[in-house]
This record gives sequence, structure tokens and C-alpha cells, in this order.
Amino acid sequence: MKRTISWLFIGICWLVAIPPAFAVSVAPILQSKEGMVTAAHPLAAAAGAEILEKGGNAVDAAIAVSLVLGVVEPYASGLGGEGYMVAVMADGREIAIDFRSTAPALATYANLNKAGSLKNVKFTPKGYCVAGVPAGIGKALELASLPLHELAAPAIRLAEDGFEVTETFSKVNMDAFEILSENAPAFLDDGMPWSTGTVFRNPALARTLKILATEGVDAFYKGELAKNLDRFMRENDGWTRKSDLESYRALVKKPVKGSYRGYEISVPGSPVGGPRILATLNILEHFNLALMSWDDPLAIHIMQEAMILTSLDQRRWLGDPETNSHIPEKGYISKDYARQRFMLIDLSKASDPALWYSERVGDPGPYENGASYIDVILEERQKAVIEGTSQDVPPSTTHFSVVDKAGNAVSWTQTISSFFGTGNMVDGYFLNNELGNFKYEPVEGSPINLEPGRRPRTTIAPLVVKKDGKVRWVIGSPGGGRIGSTVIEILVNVIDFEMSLENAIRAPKFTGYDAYKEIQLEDDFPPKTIEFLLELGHEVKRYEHPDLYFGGPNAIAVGKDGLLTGVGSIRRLGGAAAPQAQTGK
Amino acid sequence: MKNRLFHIILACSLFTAFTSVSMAADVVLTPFGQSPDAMMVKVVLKKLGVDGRLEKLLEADGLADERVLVTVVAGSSKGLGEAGIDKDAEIARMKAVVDAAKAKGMKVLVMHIGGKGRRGTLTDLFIVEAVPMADSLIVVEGGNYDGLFTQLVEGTDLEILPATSVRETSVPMQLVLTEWGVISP
Repeated sequence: MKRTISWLFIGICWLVAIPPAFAVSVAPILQSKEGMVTAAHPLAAAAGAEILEKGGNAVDAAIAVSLVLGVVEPYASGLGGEGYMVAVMADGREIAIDFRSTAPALATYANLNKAGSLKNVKFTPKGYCVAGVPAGIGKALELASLPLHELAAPAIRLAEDGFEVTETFSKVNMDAFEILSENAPAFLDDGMPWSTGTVFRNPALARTLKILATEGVDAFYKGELAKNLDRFMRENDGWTRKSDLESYRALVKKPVKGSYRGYEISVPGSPVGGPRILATLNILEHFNLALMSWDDPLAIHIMQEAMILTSLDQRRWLGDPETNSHIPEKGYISKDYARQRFMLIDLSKASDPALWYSERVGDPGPYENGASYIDVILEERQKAVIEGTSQDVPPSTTHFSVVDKAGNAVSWTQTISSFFGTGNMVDGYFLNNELGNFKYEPVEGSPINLEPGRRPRTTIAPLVVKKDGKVRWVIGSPGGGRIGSTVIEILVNVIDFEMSLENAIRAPKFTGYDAYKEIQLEDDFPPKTIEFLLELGHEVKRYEHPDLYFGGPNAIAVGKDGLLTGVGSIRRLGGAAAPQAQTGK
Repeated sequence: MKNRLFHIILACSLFTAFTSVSMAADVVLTPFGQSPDAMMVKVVLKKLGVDGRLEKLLEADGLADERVLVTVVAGSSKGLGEAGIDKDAEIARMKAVVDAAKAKGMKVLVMHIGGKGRRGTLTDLFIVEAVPMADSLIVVEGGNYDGLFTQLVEGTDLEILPATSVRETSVPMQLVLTEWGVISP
């Protein structure tokens, strides 16, 4: 009897000593043929790999990663946020899930005028748009194979047991100290920011996740959680009501498709940044970049000019297709329109930022039905201009990528807009402040005027690249106005400059976005490259290399032999994880 | 009634005699590099019972009758942008403030509380300027990972007072502020 008790004791000790996680490998860069997950936090990547190890598919793993990121990076995404997911399944299906947030019914310019301005309400409960992450997970579950309670288990475990605060967590927390002291003092470590190495727990979020795991994601929009948010909003002068939550829907769509030098690219459509990636690559296709190199000033100049042209058009024409009568997305990503835009690039000098909004905004409308650039130009269409000012978009957000053993691939970006969103916390999660992505004042014809039920426009662009019908890369990045440029540069690096994925991500990045009048770049470009860019008339602003400002891509490359290479975000201390991984660097 | 009043007065006297709370704003804080870190130091000061006046863009003529100037070093492009100044103007501002403070007989406490995460080209530029101005220096763990602070204090009387976290800066701060007469021993 004593012996039985001893064995029982030893057994219990093993159960306690061995973490519930399955055997997975985690490293900044990893290779495996058994499946791969890359995310901005190694614990999130490990959770995804744990689900793959248990027999879940890429979508199962993605759901687990989404939930864990909300725990370990509460400042960048979570249940109070939104996003977009693109899945390319091994059986040929391609699905995009739009779980972007929507403006609540009370969010009107009339109410905004009474409250001050959009800028003023951005860090108050009024800045919140109805969150889409839970509904997005609900739609993703239709492609999953495991029940939600199993997929939520790693997130609940981490929220309850806690985890060590990383350098990134601590730094972001310090940066937002002022707003957190005011809006969410309970989040702080006894009034101070969380220091690296301390253990952070979030029992309130664990409880919320348990409710979702037991009752389903609808509980967020109709149950106790919805009531809690409604109460918080009423008590704190916010605009979101239970009725807004009840009417929220995540949308299942087809990814928007494009191509670049024989590669097929699947991206999310408007109102996010996918179409701009395709439009930019369409212009770049006219240049033989492969003859140049990543640090060739002419390549940088061409890419900068192309990215400015596409960002100007995006700002003028693209928005939520559900609430705008027409979005000329087809014309915007047509190869013929790209040819007309390509003609505007002067190889010998930089375009003048003072003329961007008056002279370089195009009109993709005539290309909607497949017109040729020759016909359109001969018809001499009137030039479009942008009224009002350009707005930057906040730098937070998180992206993760998953590929499973069967070849299913998921590219998923989620965000709460600014780091910590509005800074307000309800039931353990932070409220997004996506309202700030609408026009501050109404502008006639703008696709992003504030309107109840409308999804704001953002720059996120999770994508999947295929070659000859097989997944080649899964890529995406956070980084606000730098997402487009960082993703485009990674694609050019791997396709034109034939870099490995690791080198493509590691290489210094530069911006190409109309909210920045200068080229902002990481300072490891050769001095002569900078000198030449100045000679062309560009202004240059330098950042250290690598700098989180330029995003934190988490990507996966699929080799011809099926070998998966996962690269965790170098700029955000992310990680790659795989079940039974073979080699790690 | 008289008895009750006596007890109230006695309690107040005892509180004044034994508490370490300074009554006026003995300390003025300003960031050097426009990061939000100075606000955290203000919270630590408050926990020590010291009333600190925080001015993000303190100028030389903004000094009152404080005894100590605390400057918290960390460069923030965002903070500088919001304040509408560049790094050169920020350095000039700090030099002028420190010169004025020293002329008034004030002590200067330089702090770097952000660890390794708050180091970088911009911050290092401010650190190099700030350390020689210091009468005392507090650095949170990780901030001196490459020995920059060690190198800057070499050959001087200045000593690096370490702290394991922002919260723990209260220990060296109490020592320094006690020595400078802001906190009663």
C-alpha cells in the first residue's frame, strides 16, 4: 500500500514537473518538416506548435496563437481588437476572414463635435470600435478540427500561471506609462511598469477566456461579457452599446489575388493593406530589380517612388467595401493601371512631396473593367486630388504565420491600433482605439469618413505567396505605416535579390508612405547609398538597425522539399516553434 | 475638549518630527530626451514621501526654490517630436537648466531607469552629455550592459548607484536625497 502511494506520489510529481505543453522546439529561427509557427512572442509560437503536435491543423494552431498573443502581448492585440486572416488550405481552398472592427452607432461626426475631436477621444472609451477578434475566431473554427476549449487552454494556462515579462513588454509598458496610470492603473505592477523578468498574471483575462471556451465566442457579443462592456461604456461616457456588439459580424471572403514575376500572391482586400502590396509590386515588375541589390540607391529610389504612388491612391480610393457604394479595387490592382503609374517615376530625381496630393494621385476607376492604359491615357482622364491631410496609423499590431504538416497555411494579423489601444481594460483585455483610423473631419467622397457600422482603413497585410500552386512564403508584419514597405521589401529581397527569408527580414528597411515626406531608413545602408539618395533629392531620416519601428515580421518559407523555415521577428524578439523540430540555429 | 485638542496637536507634532515627508517641492524633475520615464521617477518619489514637480520642458528660468534637480535620461523620437524640439535643442536646454541649477547651489541627480531596452544611439547621445553634469547617478540594471556608464564615470568621483528595477530605485534615491537633506534621516 505504501509502495502504491509512493508511486502515485512520484506520478503526481511528474505531472506537476512536466509542463502541460507537448514536445515542441522553440528558437528565433527554426527548420522542420513537421509544421511551423512564427509569432512575436516565443510562448505564442510554442502554443501553436503544441496544437500542431496534438494533431490540430494550421487554423487550430492559429486560433491558439491568436488567444495566447492576447495574453503575452496584451498591448498589441487581444479580444478587444481586430484583424484579418488569409488561409490557403492544402485542398486548394483559399479563405480570407475579415474581423475588422466597426464604428458603433453613436460614433458620428455630430457626436464627435460635441466631444471635441477624434484626436481628443482616441485614448478614451469613445475611441473604441466593436472588436472582431472573437467573431473572427468563431469563423476560423469552421476550418478547425479541435474544439475551442482545447485551443484556448494554452492561453488560459498562461493567463492564470503567469509568464516572465520580456524586454519588449517592459519597454512598451514604460512608453505607455502615462496613459496606463490614468486609464488602467490596475494593469500596472503596484503603480509601476512591469520590469523585465517579473511574472505577469492576468486572472481577469483567464476568466474571460474560460467563458468563451465554455460558452463559445458569442458570449463576447451577447452574454455576460457584452453586458460588462456595455456597463463600462455607460459608466465611462463611451459610445459602444450591447446592441452594437449584437450586430457585429466577421466576414468570410475570398482573398484578393495578384502576381509578381510568376509568383501568385493572396492578400486581404480593402479596407486593409493587401491591395497596396499588389499595386506596388505591379509597378515594380516594370523594373529589372534583380540587376540591382538591396543597398542600390536606384532600387531604393524606384521602390520609394512606387510605394508613394500606391499609398496616395490607397488614401484617396480605398475603404470599407461594405459601406461605400464603390471601391475601385480591381482597377487599383490591374497591371494596366500600374503601367500608367510606372510612367510617373523619374529615375533621375525624387518626386516633390509638396505636389503629392495635388499632382500624383491617380484614378484607377477606368481600369475597373480591364481597359488598357493606352485607351485610358488617350481619353485624358481628369486628375484626382486628395482633400484634407494625411494621417499616419499607429505602430502596434502583431502578425503570426502558421504552416502545418499537410501544407495548410495561415497568415494572420491582429491589432488594437495603438499599443494598449485606448488604455482602458475591461475583463482583462484592452480596448482598441481604431476610431482614430477614420477621417478626423468629414471629407466629401472620402471612403474613410466616420460612419456607424463602417470598418476603418488600416495598413495590415497578412499574405501567402505561391509558386506553381504550392505555398512558398507566409508573410506579414506589424508596424503601422511601415507595414506595406516592410512586406514589399521582404518580397523583393526574396524574389528579386534571391535572399534567404532570414536575410530578407534582417536586411535594413526603409519607408515608402505618403505620411512621411522623407525616406526613413535603418542606418546600415552604405554611406554612398545615402549620399546618392540625397543627390536624387530625397530627404533621409535615419534609425538604428534593427528598430521595432520598421515592424516585426514573423514569416515562414516553404522549401521545394517541404522543409519549413520559420523566422521569428528579429525586431521584436519573436520566435519560431515546431513540433519535433529537426534543426535549430 | 482641551485634552482632545492637546492630543491632536501632539499627534501633529510627532508626525512632523518623525516623518520623512518634505513639505515643499524640494525636487524638480525633467526628462532628458523626452521619454516618459521621468513620470515613473515621480511616482517613486511620491512613495518616498517627496513632492516632485515634473516639467517636461523645464527651462533655466523655470527653476524655483528646489534643492534638487532630477533628470531622467532616455531618448524618445516620439517624445521629442511631440515636444517640437530636436536632439540638439534638447541638449542645449538641459545644459542651460543644469548650469542655472548649479549656480543656485542645487544638486543634480541623473537617472537612467529603462535598462537595456532604453539604450540606443539617441539615448546614448544624451547619456554622454548627462553623466558629466551629475552629482549623483542611478542606473537600473541592464542600462550599463556595455559599460558605457562605467566608462563615463572613470577617473571621476562619481559612483554608479545601481537598482534592480524602477521600483527599486527608491533605495538609492532615499540614500541620495537623505544625504542632500531632502529626506530627514
